[in-house]
Amino acid sequence: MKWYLEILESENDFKKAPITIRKHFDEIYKNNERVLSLVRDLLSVTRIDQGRVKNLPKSANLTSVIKKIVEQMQIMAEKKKITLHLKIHYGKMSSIYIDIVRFQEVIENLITNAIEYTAPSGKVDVFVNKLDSSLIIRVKDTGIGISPYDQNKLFTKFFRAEKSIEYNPEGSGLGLYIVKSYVEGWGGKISVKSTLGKGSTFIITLPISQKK
Amino acid sequence: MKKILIAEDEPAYLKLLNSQLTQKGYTVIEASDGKKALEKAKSENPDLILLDIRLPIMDGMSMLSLLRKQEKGKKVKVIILTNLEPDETIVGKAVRDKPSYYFVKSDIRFNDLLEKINELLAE
Repeated sequence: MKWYLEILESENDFKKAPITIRKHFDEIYKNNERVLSLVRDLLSVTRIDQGRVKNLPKSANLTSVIKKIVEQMQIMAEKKKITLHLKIHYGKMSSIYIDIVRFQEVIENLITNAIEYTAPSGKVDVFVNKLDSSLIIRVKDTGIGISPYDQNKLFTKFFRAEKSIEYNPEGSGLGLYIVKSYVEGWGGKISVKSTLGKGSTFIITLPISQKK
Repeated sequence: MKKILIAEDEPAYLKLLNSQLTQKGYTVIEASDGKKALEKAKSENPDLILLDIRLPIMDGMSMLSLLRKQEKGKKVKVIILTNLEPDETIVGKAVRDKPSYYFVKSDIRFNDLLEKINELLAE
C-alpha cells in the first residue's frame, strides 16, 4: 500500500520519529517496491507467454527519448557512486517508430542491471550507433561479469547467474527474459559479451522502422 | 467548492482518497460500484471522477462509456486509477472514452496524483 507509506513519510510526526522506526519504514517501503516490481514482471511474462503483448508504436525523437531515460537513471547511478555516460554516435537521426513505454522498460532494465552488478566507483556507458538501417544500443559496465556457461542461459525465464545471486539475492530472473522477448518482437536481436570479473556489454540491434 | 466523485470498491483506497481530498478542501462523494457511480455522476454533478476499472455490478469502462453518452457526462473530467492490469486491451478500451489521465495506482506517487487533481480542477 504505497500511498499510505508515502503519506506516513510526509507526516511531521514521522520526521521526528527515532531512527530505528524510520529504518524499519525504509525496509517496508523497499520490500513493497520489490513485490510490486515482481508483480509487474510476472504480468509481463504472462502476457509474453500467452502472446498477448500489444505493441503501441508511436513516432518519437530517438535522441530525446534515450537522453531522458539515461537522465532518469543518473540518480540510481550517483547513489552507488557509478559514473553513467551516454555516447550518441550518429549524425542526424530524426525519429524512431516504436512502443516507447516498452522501449524505455528495455533500456532501463539493462542500465539498472549494469549499475546493480557493478561495484562503487565503476562505470556504465551507453553507446548508441546507427548502422545502415539498424540502431545499435550497447550498455557496457565494469561490473562482476558473467561466465560463458551462464551467458548461454542468461535470457531464459527465472535464470540467475551464479555471481548475480551473491550480489543481488532479490532478483527474480525475469528482467532479461522480458527484454529479449520485446526486442525480438520488434524484429531485433540482443546479445552479450562478458568476461568474469571485468564487466559485461549487452548489445541490442533494432531495425529502424518508419511509420507506415 | 469543487466536488469529486470517487468510484472505488477497495475500502483502503476509498478511505485514504476521501480523507486526503477532504483535508484539501474538496467535497467528496463515494460510490463503491459502477452503477452507483453512474447514478451519482448524474445526480451530484461532480467536477471530477476518480474511476477504478474493476468495479462490481458495472465496471468502470462501461460506466464511463455510458456517462459519455449523456449530455451532462460529456465534459466531466475523469482520472482512471487502476491496479496493475494483466489485460492490456482493457487499457486501450478505457482510454477511448477520453479520461484526462490514466494511472496505475502503484506507479504514481500520491503527491503527484494530488497535483494532477489540483491542476485539473483549477482549469
